[in-house]
Amino acid sequence: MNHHRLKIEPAGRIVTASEGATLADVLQESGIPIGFPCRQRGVCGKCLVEVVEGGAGRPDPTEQAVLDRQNRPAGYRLACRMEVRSPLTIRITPEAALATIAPLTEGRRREVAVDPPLKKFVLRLPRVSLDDPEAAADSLLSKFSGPQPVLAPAVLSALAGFDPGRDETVTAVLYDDRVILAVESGDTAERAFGAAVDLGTTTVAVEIVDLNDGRTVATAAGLNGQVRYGADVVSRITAAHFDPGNLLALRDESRRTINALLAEAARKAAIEPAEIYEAVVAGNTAMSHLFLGLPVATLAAAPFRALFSSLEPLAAAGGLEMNPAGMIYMAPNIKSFVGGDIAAGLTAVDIENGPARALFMDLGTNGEIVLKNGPRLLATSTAAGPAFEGMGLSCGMIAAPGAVHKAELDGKGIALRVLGAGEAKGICGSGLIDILAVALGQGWMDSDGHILNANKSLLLSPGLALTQKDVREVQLAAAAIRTGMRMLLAEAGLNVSDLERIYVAGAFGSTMDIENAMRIGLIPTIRPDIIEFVGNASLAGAKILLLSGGERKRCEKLAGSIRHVSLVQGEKFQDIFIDSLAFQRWSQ
Amino acid sequence: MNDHRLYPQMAQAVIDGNREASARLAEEALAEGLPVQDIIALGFLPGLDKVGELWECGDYFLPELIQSAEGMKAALAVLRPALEKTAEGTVASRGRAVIGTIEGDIHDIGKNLVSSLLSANGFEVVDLGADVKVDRFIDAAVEGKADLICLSALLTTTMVNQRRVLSRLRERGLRSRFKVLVGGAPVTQKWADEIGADGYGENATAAVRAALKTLGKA
Repeated sequence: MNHHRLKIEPAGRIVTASEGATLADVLQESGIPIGFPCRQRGVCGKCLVEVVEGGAGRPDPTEQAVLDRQNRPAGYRLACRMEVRSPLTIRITPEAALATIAPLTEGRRREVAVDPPLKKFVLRLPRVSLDDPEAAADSLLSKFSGPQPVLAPAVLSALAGFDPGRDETVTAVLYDDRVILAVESGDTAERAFGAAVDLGTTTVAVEIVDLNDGRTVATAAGLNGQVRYGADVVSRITAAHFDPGNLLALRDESRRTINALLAEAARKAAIEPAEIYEAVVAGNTAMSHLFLGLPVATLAAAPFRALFSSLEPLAAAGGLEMNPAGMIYMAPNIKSFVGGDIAAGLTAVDIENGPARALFMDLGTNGEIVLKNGPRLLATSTAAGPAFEGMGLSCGMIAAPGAVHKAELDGKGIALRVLGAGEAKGICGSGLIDILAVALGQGWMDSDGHILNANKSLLLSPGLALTQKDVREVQLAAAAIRTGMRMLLAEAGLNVSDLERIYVAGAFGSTMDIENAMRIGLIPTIRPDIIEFVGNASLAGAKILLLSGGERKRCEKLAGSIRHVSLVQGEKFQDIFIDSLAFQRWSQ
Repeated sequence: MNDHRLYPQMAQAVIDGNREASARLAEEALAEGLPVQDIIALGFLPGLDKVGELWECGDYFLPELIQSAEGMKAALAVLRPALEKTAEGTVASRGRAVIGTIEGDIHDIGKNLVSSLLSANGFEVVDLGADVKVDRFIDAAVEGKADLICLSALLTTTMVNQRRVLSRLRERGLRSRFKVLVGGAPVTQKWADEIGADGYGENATAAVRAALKTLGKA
């Protein structure tokens, strides 16, 4: 099968497509944010692309009519109608680019046998007569061989709705082989969906999954509404700690965010929220406490202890907008601030079966790091701050349309690449790394982080400048992460050169330039092939946990076995931290 | 001899954070018979002041600040014996301070900076570390005959313990014996006023100014 190399502008992404594949499918599979309002029927004309290089092919008369309506010269095609027949450079038109947030929602997938705790069974309830009529619940339970499941309260009421005089086909929703959550009329076995939720401090991502075959049917992502109460975990904990009203507000805000995304994803997949029977929520420790409306007093001061690690699944009723009889499973917290999102991430990369010495780092707001040294795992949280998610800087933003996400030198100076099409509105994490690497290389900034021009700022484009203060913020965040890595390695008695794999998770995903990240010392200078970008590993892990009861047990056991290291308990912390502030390569 | 050729060199040694140069220049100055108070006030301290400016405008960052403080301390180590001999000792011991990060809080870099700069500015400092219980601050201040109690907090949730230090001082009948300074990222002048602290500094160099001001030595 022939494959072609496609370059997608304005992001500059390179993707590979099979001969004859529909361009729309290629774009969707690659996670390129483009909208298909008419579901690829060639009617709405929204998925318009410009063929900059390569064979544009020939539109059929229907497509041509749509293109003519839009007054497009030759060289424009509808992505849903175009087949890939040669190498191409495609430019997504502004009309086609999604105006909504599209943070990275793909993560590294691994194959997991689809055996979710939630299953649906089609049963026939036989008719009964006046002569010795069996109770409805008994008729239902008699269908289950082995240990009898327990009935959730709503089931009895539901059974009242069936006609005892007829043989009724019903579908029972069984959870974890233990509880019948609901009984539905008819055969609804095919309509069994679950939601994987990555409850991030800054961005929340949701994936709706078909529980029968494990397929993802829709995704949605957006900003966590809690940012109103503060950009970082500590400020939200503080708000909740001093005012119980704030605790409830924060809880409601996280639920509101998730519900909006669930509704959006459900719409995209043409399913009803009531067809979502289970949600797996993976968030850091603070996020998971706030989501459940639990007091955060113990997280607010040393020794920063969590209230829970693994939890039995909880009833969804009153929390998320899904089936009212549904369940919520929280990915287990590890210890202290290192939470379920990291446990889920470790599940996604299957760290236990990977190389013996590996490092997993999540470059989000909390900068968690896990070090595997054979059978022993160490974890820490570096509280890096949201600089890498674009917040706390004069010109920072999350990776959404308008964000400068790449930068490089061209003949005229620094060339910026902007997400979506259009003007640069701010800089996101990956863009920051590129810009700092260029500034360092060009001598605009020294390795101490000092900007060497009179204005003390790096002007990138009209109205967009990186100030000295911004650089200092990045230095502090990068130093926190670097210190975390060095201290964990020291604790384990390892050197950077002992590492066989470094997994990088978080908002950067595959858009981080490894070489630039090494140049500024964000990651150690090491053979690039050791580094694996795993994107939103928390979401990928949440999906795995949704689909497999066995994986949940493994995850809980793993989470419980990890030792948490507090960075500040060593006197060495300050020395290492101060030493880590400089933008320079490091390998020990 | 207020413009002795060595004075600018001393300032520069502090600005450069050059410990060897600072120590050497201090020795040289003493050998030339320069008055020790002048060596500090006209030579080294202006360097520290310049460092403070460079820090506040963003040119100097944490590593430079720490290194400069070390440079200053190297000079003071050489000068201390001579200082102790002088009658006035205005810079010798500008005061005694007890400093620590408040109970429940483990962050200490900011506190370490303040401790360092206070030393560099001639204070005798006892650093109690981090997660220091309220009463321990007071006991250490009493034992060490301190003038100042300096409380650092980096979390809003632990900041409240600064208030507890002040109420404990009152309960123990010791409030008037010490000046209390507060600082740390969530701390503000408003908070300092609210809890009845004597002084506040929003960063390390401001902390030193506040310390001098509360002791009437600004």
